[in-house]
Amino acid sequence: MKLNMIDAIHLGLQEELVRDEKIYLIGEDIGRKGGAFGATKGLQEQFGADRVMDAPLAESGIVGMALGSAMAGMRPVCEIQFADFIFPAFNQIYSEVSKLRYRTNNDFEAPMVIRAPYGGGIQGGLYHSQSIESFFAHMPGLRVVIPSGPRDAKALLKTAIRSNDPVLFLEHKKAYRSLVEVVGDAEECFPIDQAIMKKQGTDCLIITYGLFVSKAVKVAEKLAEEGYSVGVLDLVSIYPLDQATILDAAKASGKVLLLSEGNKEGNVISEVAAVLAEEILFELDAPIKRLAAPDVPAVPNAKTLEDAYLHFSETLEEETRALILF
Amino acid sequence: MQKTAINYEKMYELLILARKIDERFWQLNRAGEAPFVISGKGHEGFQVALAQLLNQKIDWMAPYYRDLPLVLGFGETPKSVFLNLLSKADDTNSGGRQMAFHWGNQANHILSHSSPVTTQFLHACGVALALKKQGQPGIVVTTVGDGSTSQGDFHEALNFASVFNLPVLFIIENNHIAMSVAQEDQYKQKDFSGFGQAYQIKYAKIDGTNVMSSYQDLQKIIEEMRAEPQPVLVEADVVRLTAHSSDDDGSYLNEQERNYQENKDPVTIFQQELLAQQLLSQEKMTEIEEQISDLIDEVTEEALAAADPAADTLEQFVYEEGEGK
Repeated sequence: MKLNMIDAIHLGLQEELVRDEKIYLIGEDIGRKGGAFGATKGLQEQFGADRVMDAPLAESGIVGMALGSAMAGMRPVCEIQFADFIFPAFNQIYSEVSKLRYRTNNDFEAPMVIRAPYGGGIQGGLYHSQSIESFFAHMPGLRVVIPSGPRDAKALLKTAIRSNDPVLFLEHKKAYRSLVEVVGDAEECFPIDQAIMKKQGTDCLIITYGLFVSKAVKVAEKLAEEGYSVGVLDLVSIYPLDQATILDAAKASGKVLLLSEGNKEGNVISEVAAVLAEEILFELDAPIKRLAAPDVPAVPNAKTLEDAYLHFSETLEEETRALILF
Repeated sequence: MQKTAINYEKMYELLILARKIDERFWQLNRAGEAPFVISGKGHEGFQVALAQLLNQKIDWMAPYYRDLPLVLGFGETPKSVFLNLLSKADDTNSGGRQMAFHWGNQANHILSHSSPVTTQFLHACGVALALKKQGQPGIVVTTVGDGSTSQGDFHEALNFASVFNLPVLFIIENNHIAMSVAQEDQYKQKDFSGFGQAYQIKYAKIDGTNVMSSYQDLQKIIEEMRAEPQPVLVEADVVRLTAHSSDDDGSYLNEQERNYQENKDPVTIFQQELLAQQLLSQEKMTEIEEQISDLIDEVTEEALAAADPAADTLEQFVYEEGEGK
């Protein structure tokens, strides 16, 4: 079955709700309306208001109450309407959700998922475009997972829901309807702690995640026509990083370009660069290249400014070629 | 619901146990054995009563750091709270990972909490939601200090409990001082009844320093909650008979505040009432006190001799380990 990413996520949620009665969904406008992007459309009708709950407009409340229910045996899946709105829940996620297992010496656990759409390029302005993953990539105990397409989204979401650890599951909103592919069946679950080699290559490796994976694959295919072999590694797990796969892939190509939509300074790809520098510096044939957003507070609304913000990603092809020729 | 006879002796035992443990904790702190103490001294009255009214098999608790009496009445043993104080390996609350007085024990239905205040109010809502979803009876009790009423999570929790009609007993332990900040610099209301009205949930104010009246008041509230599951907000008027913590000297308190606090010691008040109403003899009280003192000496020695967490366990239990992973 071919689906776009939002429909794949919808199907994944639906299948999991059928599978396990302990699972319930909670978020703003996810019930009667079916979600700002339609990820839960019709699910309240199908499963009832107890299992697909419209919450008052309070993100800390949503996450905090979900955590309490998880401590008492439920498996909540929260939706934060836009990743930009997650910060009122930051304390609940950082101080409570991520630390619960550790601070109780394994007595309690937090089997819960927090889904949130992130990313720009849709004229969402400063507060409907943010890439927030770096803030959450510093919280041992929490997993941060970002799928790069419909099939992965469904199969990773299922694993996240079935995991006994909390997962922040970020979905690029521009990928919701722009990417379409065949998705797996109700039991297709992919590991949420492993990076995925999307394309093998020996001249250069692009390491990225989310929406940019498909962009990187296209660039790799284009450069293949010029005779260059470019690999693409999808991080999948933004935190903790799958260091073994990252190092193996980087060694095989010798040159690494890192790509992220977040601000460049303090970006998660900088951590990838640090791992590479620390572990395999002398096996690399060129300096590590980072392509990321300029260090301005967020994506501005005007098309000209939004394009300027995202311009770095348009340079991917030439920057990759330049790295190959270094 | 069938009413059982009020067990005054049991409540007196718990009150004295909590008080004497608290006093020993301070001694251990001054002796350099315990790095930190934060006290429930002066908060014991209603906690002792509340512990008798809960049913640990079905009820849950999301406490905060001044609730030593409450957790002692809800399954924590003298030994376990000493192990917690000293961050020992066998501390059932966190294996020595958290600061002392940060409770949490699934077997006892006590939720784990952190140090940023008031987050547990929402967790209590979540447990109540889970009980509702699972069709289980039981109520959830959660506590905060008066300082926490300014936090966003306080208000989100009251609203969520109201909207979803969750059987949560929210208790504000109002000792009228938030660490060092005086009441008039925290809020302008006379009491917190306005929050009950705002969130359309029942509100009651009780004298939290008085075990007997707290028992009567809380019994009625809890019976109503069991008969008709719903949230209730209780403001328990208490006193803080110590500084904020062992890292504070309380020197900022003025004379009036100091006198008010000291004249409302729950132990003295309960003792006077028990004797006046001839519910417990002086001899029995002395016997209880002596037994508890002996017990505390014994447990102190055991806890001091207990093993510290092994350094090589530092990286354990960040994520699920073993098969389920």
